[in-house]
This record gives sequence, structure tokens and C-alpha cells, in this order.
Amino acid sequence: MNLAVCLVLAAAAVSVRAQVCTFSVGALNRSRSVFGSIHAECPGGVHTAPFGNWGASSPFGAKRNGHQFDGWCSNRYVCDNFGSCRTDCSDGWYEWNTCTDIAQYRAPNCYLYNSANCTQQVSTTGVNVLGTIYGQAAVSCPRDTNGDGFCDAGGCKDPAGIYLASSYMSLYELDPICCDELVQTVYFPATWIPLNCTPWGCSPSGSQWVNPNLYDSPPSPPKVSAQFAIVANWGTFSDPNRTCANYARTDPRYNCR
Amino acid sequence: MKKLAVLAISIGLGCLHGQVAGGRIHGQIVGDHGRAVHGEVLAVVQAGAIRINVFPTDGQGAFAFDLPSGPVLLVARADGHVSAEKQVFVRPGPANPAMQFRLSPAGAVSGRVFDANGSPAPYARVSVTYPGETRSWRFEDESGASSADAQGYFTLSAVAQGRPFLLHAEAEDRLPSSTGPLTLRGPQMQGAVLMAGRPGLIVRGKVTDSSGNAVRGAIVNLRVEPDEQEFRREVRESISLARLTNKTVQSGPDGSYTFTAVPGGRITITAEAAGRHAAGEARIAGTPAEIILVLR
Repeated sequence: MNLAVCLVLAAAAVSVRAQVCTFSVGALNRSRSVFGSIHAECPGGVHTAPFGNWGASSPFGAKRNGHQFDGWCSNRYVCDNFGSCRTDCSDGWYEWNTCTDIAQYRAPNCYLYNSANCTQQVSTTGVNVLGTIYGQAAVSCPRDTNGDGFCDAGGCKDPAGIYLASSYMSLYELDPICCDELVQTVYFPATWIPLNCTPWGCSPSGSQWVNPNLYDSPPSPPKVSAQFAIVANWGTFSDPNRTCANYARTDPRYNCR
Repeated sequence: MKKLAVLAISIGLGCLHGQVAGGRIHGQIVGDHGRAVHGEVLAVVQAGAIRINVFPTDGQGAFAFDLPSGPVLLVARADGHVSAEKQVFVRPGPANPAMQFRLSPAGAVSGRVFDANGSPAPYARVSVTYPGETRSWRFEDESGASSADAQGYFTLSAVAQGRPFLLHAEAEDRLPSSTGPLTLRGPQMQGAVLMAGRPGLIVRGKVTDSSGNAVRGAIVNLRVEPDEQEFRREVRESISLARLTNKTVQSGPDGSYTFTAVPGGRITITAEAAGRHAAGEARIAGTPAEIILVLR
């Protein structure tokens, strides 16, 4: 590393709280499916078997009763294997059959499964958001490199992209009264967002979708599949302490729009 | 600033020694009363790109991992708690000091946003910050960014218990407003009341070419340096103000553009279309501004 680069890095560190580019980075999933033996919050307690809404804990935030991992059952007339019928999944979510190893709810049953000849479950909704992070990156001041008076370098253009080395989602059957139950943890390989920014901000850009590469709790067999991606929703430059504005008064390179 | 100077010197020393070796980081996440908390640590390194690694703890909240030597932001999080972060400089080898992250238990805060007439402020965005805390990395579910409903009711699900916090509201076409310090003493607080801020200013105009023809689809960017007295420090450094003072729209079919909820201060406005640029500057206070941008 040459001395000039080192000095630039040192200067950047001095002004680490000065000017920043703030990014909104979301974690997404799609193409959700559930197969094999699932047993969470099944009969024997106060639970409303077999359907339930799932939440996902991930590096992007905590599990919550929302649309983090939508299933397919929403306000549907269902009948179990014992002939008991009712309208289920009527609390506004898209739910999963989470008691697939119980005779009453076992496959095949076209009321309780919606795929693979009524033996598996696939989500009927599109992309879900696991969570969102707001991250601030220390950046250099926006500057004009070609002398046209408009900033074309620095600011939000500094970071080339966002690299997430790996990720995961731990899927839970949510219980409003007590004790969410872990279904499985699904891991994903690295993802990369190439950023599309001007010095002043970034437009939305996303990574490629990736498939699971590992499972845990239990490590096998896989019970769940989904694709995962990250997206930079926006980026915005800010200079709350007017550091760059002060540079602009003395150095014409920074006096750009 | 002393820490920053040390960081800068450390970077300089690292450069001079051509540092490339990795260092071992280890420590523990604990919660209330020092109880071990199972969670994870995100390591964020800025080196050309922003690189994020995720390291889970064991059941006792302990973590250990290797990182390239240099500055890194470590963010500890666990479900049911509010995250914490530390900026550290990783030194080569195993001798980095043990780190402890103490996470506050999270609780829920609910309430309602009103406007100055006492009417509910629908769909206001409500967020939370902690006085004196500067964070570089925040999770949406604990920073708030929750939208109130049509009647102005909101719930924030992950507010730190036992630490003073401020609530901020952003209602449509209005400037941000904040409460005074509040403290969550248990798992839940109800009945918080926020007043929406005063209306912001309007900046509008038109994008044309040098012949005066309207230019549709130009990228118009507005940046504001708010007057010093406009906002408190917590608001000045907030994400919501960063977004409020740096906005981008596209010009309409007639070349027109409009920005609302603009704070008073010095504004710079630029337009760009097909490699042509235009710019204007003004100081605004109290009345709407109209700026014609001619692309050249």
C-alpha cells in the first residue's frame, strides 16, 4: 500500500463521523416451499393446528408476526384426514401446515397441501422481506474531477458494493401466547450488491438470488427451501457537521454541485 | 475525536508496516444482569466495498472469529434485545482484548401522533433514538421507522428498556418532530403522544432545454443545508433528516418537479438528463421557492 493511499485512509478515519452515505439494505426471500416432516405447535396444547404463520430471525432482524415467510393458506375452507372441516387461516396471514407428521394432517390431502400432488406446500405470494438494516459508511467528500462544476466522485460513489459473506434465516412457527417453535435454520452463500450511485445517493440495486447451502436444527433432512437475496433500497449522502461544505470554501474541487 | 485520532494513527502505522495478517476477535454477548445471550455479531469492514460477515455466538453468548487487521465495526444483536455496536481496530494475532456487548432487553412502546389541531396524523413514520448514542448500523425493527395507521396509532416493538430515548415523527409534508426524553421501565409503554412537526416548505419548478422546451424524466436532486436553529443535534444526525435534506425526483411530462417538506436553509438543486446538467441555488425561508433549471 503506498503512502498516499495510507494518508487518504487516515484522513477518512479522522472524519469518520463527518460525512457518510447511509444505505437501506433489505434481506429478501422468494420461492418458498415446505416438505417432509414438520411438527410445531401441534395438538395437545392451546394451539390452532395445523396451520400457523411463520416468522424468521436473521442477521437483518428479529422474527415477528408479519410477512417474513409467507405460506399459502389464507382464509380457506379445509378438511383434515378425519373429515373435520372448517374455514381456517382467517387471521390475515399466509400460513403453513406445521403438523405434517400427525395422522390427522398428513399428506396427501389437497386441503392441507397445495403442491406435488397434494404432498408438499409452496407459497402463493411473491417476495418477502426478512428485515432491513440502515448502515452508514464513512465516505470522502463529493468532488469534481473533470472541472465541469458537477460532483462526479466521492460521497456515495466511494463503496463499490455491499458483500454479505453468508446469511441465514431461522424459521419459527409463531405462537401468540407462548413460545415460538423453531422449524429449521436455513443458510445461504455469499451475496453481492453492485451499487449504482452518484456522489449524492444511490438508486435501488440488488444481488442475485441464491439457494440454500446448509441446514441446521436439524441439519438434515431439509424441510424448507427458499431463495435469498439482498437489496440496497436507497443510499443518501449526508454531511451533518458541514465538513464538506467547509472544504468547498477553500478547495475548488469540492465546490461542486 | 481522540479515539478518531488514535484510529487514524493506527491506520497509518498499519500502512507503514504493510499489515495484512489477521487478528482474532473474541468476547461475549450478555443481557440484563450479565446473563449470557445467544445471538450473533456482524462484522462490517469498509475496504473498497462494504463487507459484512455474520458470526453466531454459542449458547453462552461467546464468540470468536478471525478478521483482517484494520478498523472494523462490530454489531451485536439478539432477538428480544436491542443491538449494540463498537468500532474497533483489529491487531494482528491473538492478543486483541476480549469484548463484551451488553444488550438492553427490548420492550414495546405504543401511542398516537396528532397534528397541531389535535387531529390524528395518519401514516406518520415514528422512529426512536437514544440521546448521546451515535450508531452507524441500525436494524429497522429497533430504530422504529414504523408507520402509524390511518388513525395515527403506532407501536414500536423493540425499544431499549431502562435507557432514555426520544421518539420522532415524520408526517406527510411536515418537518420531523421529537418528544422529550422518555424511559421504558418495563416490557411495555402505552399512550405515548407525539405532535407532528410544522409544515415544511415547497420547492418547485421546471426543467427545460436551452430552447425553453420542457424536459421530461430528468433526474432532479434537491439538497438542503438546514439553518443551524432548525433542528436539534439528534435530529440533525438522524437518518430521517438525511433523507429529508437529500431527495431525488423525476421531472413530469411538462418538465415540472415538486419537493415538499423542505426545511428552511440553503438549497442546491441539480437536474441531469442525457448527459446534460443544470443547477440552481437559493436560500429559502417561509415561502415556497420556484427554480427553473435549464439543461446545458
